[in-house]
Amino acid sequence: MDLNRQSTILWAFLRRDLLNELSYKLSFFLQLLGIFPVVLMFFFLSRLVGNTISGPLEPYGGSYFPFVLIGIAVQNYLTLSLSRFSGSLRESQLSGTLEAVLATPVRLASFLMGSTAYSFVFNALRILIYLAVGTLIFNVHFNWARLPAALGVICLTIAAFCSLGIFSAGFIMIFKRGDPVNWGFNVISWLLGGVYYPVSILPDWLQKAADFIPMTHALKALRVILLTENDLSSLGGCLMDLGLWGVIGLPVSLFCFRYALNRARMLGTLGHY
Amino acid sequence: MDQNSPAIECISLKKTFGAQTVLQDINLLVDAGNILALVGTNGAGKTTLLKILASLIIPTDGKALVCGYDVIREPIQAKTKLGFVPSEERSFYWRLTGLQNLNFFASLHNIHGKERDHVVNAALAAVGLEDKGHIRFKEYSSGMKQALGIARGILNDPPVLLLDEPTRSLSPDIAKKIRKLMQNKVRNEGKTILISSHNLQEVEELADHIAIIHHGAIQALGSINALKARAKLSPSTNLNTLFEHFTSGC
Repeated sequence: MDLNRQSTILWAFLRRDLLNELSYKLSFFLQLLGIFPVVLMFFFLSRLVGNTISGPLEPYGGSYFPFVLIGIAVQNYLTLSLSRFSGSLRESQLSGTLEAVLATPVRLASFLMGSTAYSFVFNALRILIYLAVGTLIFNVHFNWARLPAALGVICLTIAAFCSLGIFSAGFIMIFKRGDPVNWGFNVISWLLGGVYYPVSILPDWLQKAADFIPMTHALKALRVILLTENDLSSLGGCLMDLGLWGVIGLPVSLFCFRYALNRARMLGTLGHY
Repeated sequence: MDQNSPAIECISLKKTFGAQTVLQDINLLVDAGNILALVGTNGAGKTTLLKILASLIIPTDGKALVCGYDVIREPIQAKTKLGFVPSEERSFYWRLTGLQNLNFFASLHNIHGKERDHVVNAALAAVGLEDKGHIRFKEYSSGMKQALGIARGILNDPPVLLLDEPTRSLSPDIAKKIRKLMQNKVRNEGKTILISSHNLQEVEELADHIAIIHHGAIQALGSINALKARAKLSPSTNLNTLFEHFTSGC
């Protein structure tokens, strides 16, 4: 596969989506502005919580606001980017562009990566704004020296989450509407992934279930990296689990998506919605 | 791929959707430098055949090749050899300009940089949209949208063009320009065109050969004059009468 050609295609998708988003100027800026009230709300909530749950928060620096700030930033990033796989496909079915794009010699992996590239880039900007607001306005201390390690974890997390996104896109390819994969995964992540509270406060059996969710490992690793000075060697298990999601999940989800695409081509429903 | 491969080849092609047979035993061979027109009523199977050749639909049985490439087993190679112009208007990004749309599709064909600017501008000029590129697609008239679809089809200068009712919404002057463009592509550049059209006058003006499709089967295939002779009709008979001759009683 020619890397130069693939990067040209990726850039073309990125540019297309940026132009499209900028054509809705108000929506573009409201998406960014929307971050501030959310952060403010959790700031006040953290004042209410105070030190009442400091024990379970001890492994993550002991303070609720930085803990939840990372939780909502990462959860926001991953769920928005994840939903883009199925969302982008659905949009192209509705606009009739899916057949036009698939009639060109673009490879399946390039098509999937291209369709979501903008979302991953734009939402990375959102995560930075979350952290910047926390640092500059609310004086949250992040361990910025460990940013490269955090970026490494984010890359592993993206690979893990992409497999779920591609699987949900396959679902949309066949069933057109409804997205139980995304929906189910979001709900489970909110509930068990440790976005708003530490997983350690859950009953034992739910903690065991939470171990199977990539969000749990991503958040644990990022919080330890950015909020503490703890030794990172303790994160080996988390990184291994995230890596496994990517290594096993990506080929399986691509296989499923290819099956769904071929089924739509067999049924002649590629452009249907 | 064999250099002497036909531009388009269909071998015993069959397509069913559930219990409904849409195409049955389609055998076609179109050599480079020819225009073959698919003529048939609505639902005859013309669009399905074009979409199979564009790798958008998988046939139930049989084989389809574009420049020697199997459209199912070698779709990427086959798609580099063709330009597909669908009949639908809604195949562009409505909030992007015509130019931005074509830039995007040109990139998917691996055309970039200055070459892309040149190719896109030439394609716009070829369909009479040279001064309309900066208008958003949503503000285009139906005819302009159709013309932009044709411009997209020729971006990669493909040896094979698949056109699904390409002049359906065009004004007479633009339709004439498009017909000239097609003739030029075939006569001077050696391209091959497979066109589906309901406009029999246009078919008569353009096509070297016609395939009359009825209920998913090819009822007649050959040059217009040869088919008239086969039907024992006078050379002055219009295509409508020829079409009725081969489809009545089927």
